[in-house]
Amino acid sequence: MSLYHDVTTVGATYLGPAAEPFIGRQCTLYLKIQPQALAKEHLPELAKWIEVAGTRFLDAMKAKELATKIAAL
Amino acid sequence: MKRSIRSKIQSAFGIMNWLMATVAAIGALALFVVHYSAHQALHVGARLSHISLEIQVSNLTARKYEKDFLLNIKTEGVENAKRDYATKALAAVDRLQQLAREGERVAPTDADRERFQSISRLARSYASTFGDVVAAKQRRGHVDSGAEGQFRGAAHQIEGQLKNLDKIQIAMLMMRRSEKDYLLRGDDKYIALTLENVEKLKAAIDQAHLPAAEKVSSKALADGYRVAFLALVDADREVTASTAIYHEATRRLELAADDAAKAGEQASEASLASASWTASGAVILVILLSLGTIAAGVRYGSRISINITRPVKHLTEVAEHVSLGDLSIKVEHTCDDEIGELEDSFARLVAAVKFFQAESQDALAVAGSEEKP
Repeated sequence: MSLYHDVTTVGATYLGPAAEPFIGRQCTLYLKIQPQALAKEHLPELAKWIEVAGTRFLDAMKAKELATKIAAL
Repeated sequence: MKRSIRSKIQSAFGIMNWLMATVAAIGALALFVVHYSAHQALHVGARLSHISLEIQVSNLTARKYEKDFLLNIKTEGVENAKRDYATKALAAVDRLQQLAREGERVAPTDADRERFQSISRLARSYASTFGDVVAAKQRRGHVDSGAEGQFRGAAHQIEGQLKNLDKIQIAMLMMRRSEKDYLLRGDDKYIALTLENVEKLKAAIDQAHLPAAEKVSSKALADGYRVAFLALVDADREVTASTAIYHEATRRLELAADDAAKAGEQASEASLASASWTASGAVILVILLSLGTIAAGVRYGSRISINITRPVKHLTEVAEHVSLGDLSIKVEHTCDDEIGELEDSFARLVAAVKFFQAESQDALAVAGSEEKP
């Protein structure tokens, strides 16, 4: 299993079917990488963007919680 | 710890069952206590009442045999009367003492115990004084026995020796008349008169024309008569004295027996009152416990009901808003059971709908900008 898969699995508990496109969008738009190329060193940056962008769809607290979980992977 | 609705409902019913079982157990215990204390109280009251009645019966039986003894001494003789009646009177007193001891053991209060102790002491005193009367009666004797028998013997002896001597016979008849007066009336003045007549008889013997040896033996018989008469007087006095003491003992014992009968009635009444009080107390206790349990059940049931219905109400509200296109509503996580999971699912659903809605709006915006020349 890839790291990207793990990240989307965690994200699915907060965003359901929107997790995969949401996280893919963060990878391509802000990290400038293909989602499948996601590596451990990208996680802190990805978590930061997930927290920022996630507040559009989630509570600020939940977005922070999701970011923390992803950073800890 | 995560708890399901099922476990919450189960624990609620478990607690209700436990409370009901507790009330039932306390109710059963209270009934047992009521039954036991009522039984004890009634048993003690009935037993004391029965003992008191038996004491009265024994006392009256003793008194009956005692009267039989005193009445039948003259017809049956002291020994026969003692065998037939006095021993039975003393046996009845023994029984009375046994009953008093039993009453002392059963009595619930110090005052009742003291009452039966007093009866026991008085019964002992009665038995002792009655024994003294019987002994005094035995010593006194009747007709041919005891002091009276000896006295009659002495009188017959002197009568036999001095008959047919006119002057001496007159003195002797006067002596016998005063003696009979004493025996009939019991008056002390006849004692002195009889003793005076003995001296007159002895003087008449001295003056009579009798051989010197016969005079000596006749005067010795007169002295013997005197001694036997005085012994009879002493025996009578002993009987009188012991009878007086014994009468006082019987009077006090009768009063105590009456008192015991009243105590028995009081004990019965007190036991009924005690049983009634215990029953009332138990009923009040059970009612209070039942009310307490009902209040606790209502309070706990209400809490469980609120815990279940509040999240459902919140979810209904969320579903209503989302179905009308309002995605701004905040989905709260209110509990950790199945409804909490449903809340999380709703939260994910709303987040996903928001995301896809934003995606489509972004796509529409991009398409719009591309169409512009």
